[in-house]
Amino acid sequence: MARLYLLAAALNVWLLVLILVAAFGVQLILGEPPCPLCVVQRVALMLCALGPLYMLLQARDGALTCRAIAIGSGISILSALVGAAVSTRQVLLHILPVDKGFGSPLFGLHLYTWCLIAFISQIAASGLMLIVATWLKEQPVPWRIANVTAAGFIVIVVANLMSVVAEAGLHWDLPSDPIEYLLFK
Amino acid sequence: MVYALFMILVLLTLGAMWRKHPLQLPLFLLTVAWVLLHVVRDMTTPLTLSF
Repeated sequence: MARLYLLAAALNVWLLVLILVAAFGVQLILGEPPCPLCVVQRVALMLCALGPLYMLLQARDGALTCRAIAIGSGISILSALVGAAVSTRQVLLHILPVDKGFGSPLFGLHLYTWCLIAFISQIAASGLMLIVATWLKEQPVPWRIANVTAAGFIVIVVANLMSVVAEAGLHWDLPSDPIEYLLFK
Repeated sequence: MVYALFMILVLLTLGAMWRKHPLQLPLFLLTVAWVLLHVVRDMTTPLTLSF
């Protein structure tokens, strides 16, 4: 059960990393630099991933405990709530029928709408993880997936960090409708 | 720059988690609180960040 639990936590992190990679892909392939609210949503996705990563790292050289699951799920839920607030704000900014929204839609929905779906799903998944913890037996698990998962996460965070530095240049904030990378201007 | 600082804080939190440092949760809470304050400030002022 503990191994299955850790697998679910790793999948959770990789799904969030995949969403961040997709957003990065839209940015680079379609040439659409993210707006400030989009970047905050990316940060919230990163914070969500810290929850399952916490569980994985705590279980790295010991047993997966209910305490680690509770803290990890709490981290994800808090982060997802912040992220959902930001995405909801952006959805509401473009709710009027004449508004075409910000950026190109992906599979019919804008990225901020996908983000809202992701944050709500994250809250649901964390709630489920907390319930399933009832059947967990706290025993040592020989599981080495934490390092690879954390490495994948670090790569996407560093890529986003470099991207946002290039986009903002030496400015404290980003322009509300960015069209270029200010560092290279 | 503020967004870069958020991401650096995420990386610092992960580093603290990796080492099981006592600052791991305070760092996470600080990051979430700062992001939340940033968003609330945006929501309570004329449209500056939002697009």
